[in-house]
Amino acid sequence: MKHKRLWLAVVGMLLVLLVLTVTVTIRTNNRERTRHVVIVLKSREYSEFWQEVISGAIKGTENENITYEIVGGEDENDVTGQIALLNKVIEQKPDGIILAASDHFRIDPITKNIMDAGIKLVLVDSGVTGDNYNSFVSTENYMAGYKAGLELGELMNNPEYVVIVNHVQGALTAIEREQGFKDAMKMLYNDATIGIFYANDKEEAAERYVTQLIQYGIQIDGIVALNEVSTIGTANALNPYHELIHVPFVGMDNSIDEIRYLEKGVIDKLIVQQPFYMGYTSMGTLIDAMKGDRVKDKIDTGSKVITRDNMYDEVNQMLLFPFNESEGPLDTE
Amino acid sequence: MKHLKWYQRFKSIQSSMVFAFVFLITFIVITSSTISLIFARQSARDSAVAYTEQIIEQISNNIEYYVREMDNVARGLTFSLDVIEYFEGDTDIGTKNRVKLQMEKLLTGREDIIAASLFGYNQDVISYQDKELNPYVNITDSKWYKGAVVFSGKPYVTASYVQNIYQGSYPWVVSMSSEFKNLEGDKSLGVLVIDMNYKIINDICNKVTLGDKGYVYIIDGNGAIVWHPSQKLINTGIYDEVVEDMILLDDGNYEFTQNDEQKIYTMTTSSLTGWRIIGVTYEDELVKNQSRMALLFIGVAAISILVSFVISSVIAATLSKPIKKLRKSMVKVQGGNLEEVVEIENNNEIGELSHTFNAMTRDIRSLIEANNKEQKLKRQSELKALQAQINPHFLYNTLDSIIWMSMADKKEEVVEMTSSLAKLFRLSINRGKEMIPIADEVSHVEHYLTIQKYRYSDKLTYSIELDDKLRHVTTLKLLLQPVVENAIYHGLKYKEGGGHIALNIYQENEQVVMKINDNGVGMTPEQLDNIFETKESSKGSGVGVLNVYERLKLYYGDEAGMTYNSTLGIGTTVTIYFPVRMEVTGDEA
Repeated sequence: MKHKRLWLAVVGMLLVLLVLTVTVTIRTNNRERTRHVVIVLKSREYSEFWQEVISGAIKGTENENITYEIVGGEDENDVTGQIALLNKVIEQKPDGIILAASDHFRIDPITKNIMDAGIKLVLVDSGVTGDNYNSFVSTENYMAGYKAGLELGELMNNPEYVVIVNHVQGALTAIEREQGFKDAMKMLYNDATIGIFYANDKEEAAERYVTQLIQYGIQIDGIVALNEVSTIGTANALNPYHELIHVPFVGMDNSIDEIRYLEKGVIDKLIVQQPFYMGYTSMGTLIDAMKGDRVKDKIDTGSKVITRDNMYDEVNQMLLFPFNESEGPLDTE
Repeated sequence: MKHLKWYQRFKSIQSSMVFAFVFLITFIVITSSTISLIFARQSARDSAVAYTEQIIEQISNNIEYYVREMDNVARGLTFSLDVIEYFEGDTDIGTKNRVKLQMEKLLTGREDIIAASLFGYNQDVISYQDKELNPYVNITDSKWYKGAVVFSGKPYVTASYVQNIYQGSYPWVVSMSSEFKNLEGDKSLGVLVIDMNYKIINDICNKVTLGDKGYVYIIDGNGAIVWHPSQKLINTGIYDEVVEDMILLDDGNYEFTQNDEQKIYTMTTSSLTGWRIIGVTYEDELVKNQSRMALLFIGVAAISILVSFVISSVIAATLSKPIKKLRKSMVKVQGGNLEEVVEIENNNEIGELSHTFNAMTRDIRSLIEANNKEQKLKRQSELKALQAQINPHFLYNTLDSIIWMSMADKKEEVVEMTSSLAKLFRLSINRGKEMIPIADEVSHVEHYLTIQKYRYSDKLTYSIELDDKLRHVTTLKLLLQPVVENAIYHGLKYKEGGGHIALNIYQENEQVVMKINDNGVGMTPEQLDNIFETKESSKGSGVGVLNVYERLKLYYGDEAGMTYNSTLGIGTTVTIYFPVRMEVTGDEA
């Protein structure tokens, strides 16, 4: 009788173990729960750049258990709107937020609230003054400026006068890019004089300034423009004269106007960010953070140098002429 | 000890039966599950690959169908007389308009066609919808142009790219280009390029699902990516795709590990476009189904093992129960209980065994009974024979003495002797009973002594002492008389002067002790040793002490006995002892 009980006990235990294994295995298979992410942009009117950031972020959710929604302020300068929006999102308690801060001072306290609410936060493209976030994914502006300096340096021969057309004096990105460029110049041509003009994000201001320089016959051995608006303005100014006298010119960012000038030869090189990669990386980093993995607090998604010769390379054409993968190529007409 | 060992061994038969059953079934279940899993895995893989092949074949067909349609459009232009005429040098404005009209006819309403242009080697260009050309682009650098020239008349299909030849627009397209010739076909006149909206390819490929993670991608014959769901990631360098290897391989299935994932690549080549359409499925998705299947098998295995355990326990118990019963009965029989009968429950081997055992027990029982009966019978007949032995000799002598006394006219003595003889015989016969009260036995020997006293005149004296408690205690009859006779004939007869016999009967412990003491001649040690061997050969009364001894032993067994004590010239003492047994049948006359 004792033997029988022993047998029963052994088999019973075996069975219990088995059932446990089965349950655990099934549980493990379904364990990855759905997480919700809110992407908070500066504006609901997505420029081409932001469209790419978004499609990159969406690509990042592939094969992951993620639901997402995209919100934004009225326009790029609607800081109050974004603050109100963020407060609403915090109440909603999503698992993670991807945020492009519209103002690095005023948004900063909100990032603390987000982190305090236990929400994972990844900043994309535009950061804040503090460090209340899990990761900041952007183009390293200093490096972009430095790259612009190196590329312009290749086009010049012992320059004496180099002009920087920058966007807004005191803006974080402007300062960083400018510093990068200056450092590259110092390294290459220490003797060159560098003049700086702030166009305050106005094409006409940049155009007027550069046109005046040319018309006054001031010697310019090279020009760098450090954002899209400044680049187009500068190119507009150089365009009438470029066949007569070409000024080495390196611009930044990517737009259809810039591409035309690049094809025409007014712009020699463009330093182009990788918004798709930026969006993809920020989503990937956020997912890692939500899963509890350690993430880098700063990620540089880099920039690319585009010239007339390489702009239609298989790799670059997709960067310059992005298409939305679900809807086909964007008509850039 | 032996009992426990048997029990344990018995138990282990049952356990080992259960163990054997469970082991066997576990083995079978695991083996068959494993084999099924292997086959299931193979067939899952096969069907996944077959499905992928079907899908990519479908995509290839769709693309070829579309390209063929484009080719028809292209032929409508390249074989048009107006086109040939115009590019052969007929610069008539009317011809040009007819070409434009033809283009309108062929292309209007087709949203999938973004642009079409005829580039003559004579530098003349006719564009559908008169699109402005991009002044900064040299068309001879374009892939479609070079391809068409190389293909010389056959249609050339590009990979996906950004078309930059038209002013102000940079659409994503797949172009088909072909060189057109004069009527004789010996002179190339120019190149036709038709730009197809890339969306078409995108739509064809994007709808495809291969499992949760699987996908399709297309590369052209040079390894340029035509379509890939993660093309931007590939360009950024954070995603790798197998491209170069696929160009070198033929259509079929290949396994690659890529981005740390096992994938199955299935490729088909479109002969019309030279494109390679590749379907990718993930090994771990197959394995996912696999593990679900494995879980099912484990469950089934667990249940069958449990069921087999229960069933085998029941079977083992049913089989071992009759064995257990049989064993119990055997132990009882071993302990002496021959009445034990094993119940027979079924007719299997154990039933037969039980049956045989029962028969054996029965046989032993009847053998023992027969033996007992035989023994009893033998004893009775012997007893009767012995009792019958006593009489004749003594009777002659006594009757002789009576005759002599009658002749001597000793009337009173004759009466007493005759009366004693009569009583002696009555007691001797005593209704054939073996057992009599000691009182009767004593009076029997007293009658005998009376007779002998008369026969030997005053040469014999005797004394009898009987414990009154023992009067009703039973004894085997004719114990004393033969001993007394022996004492007279062998001890006193040869003695000078008178002899005396002292009879003393008393109880010692639970034994009756009868002491017969004579003061006769006694015996030598040799005689003493041979006392029980005198047997029938000796004359005298015939009923020897041996007879007494044997009867004692026969009736009482080891509890009774008889000893001789004798000293030559002094006398002999015979001691008879046997257990005290009260008379059962009451008083005796």
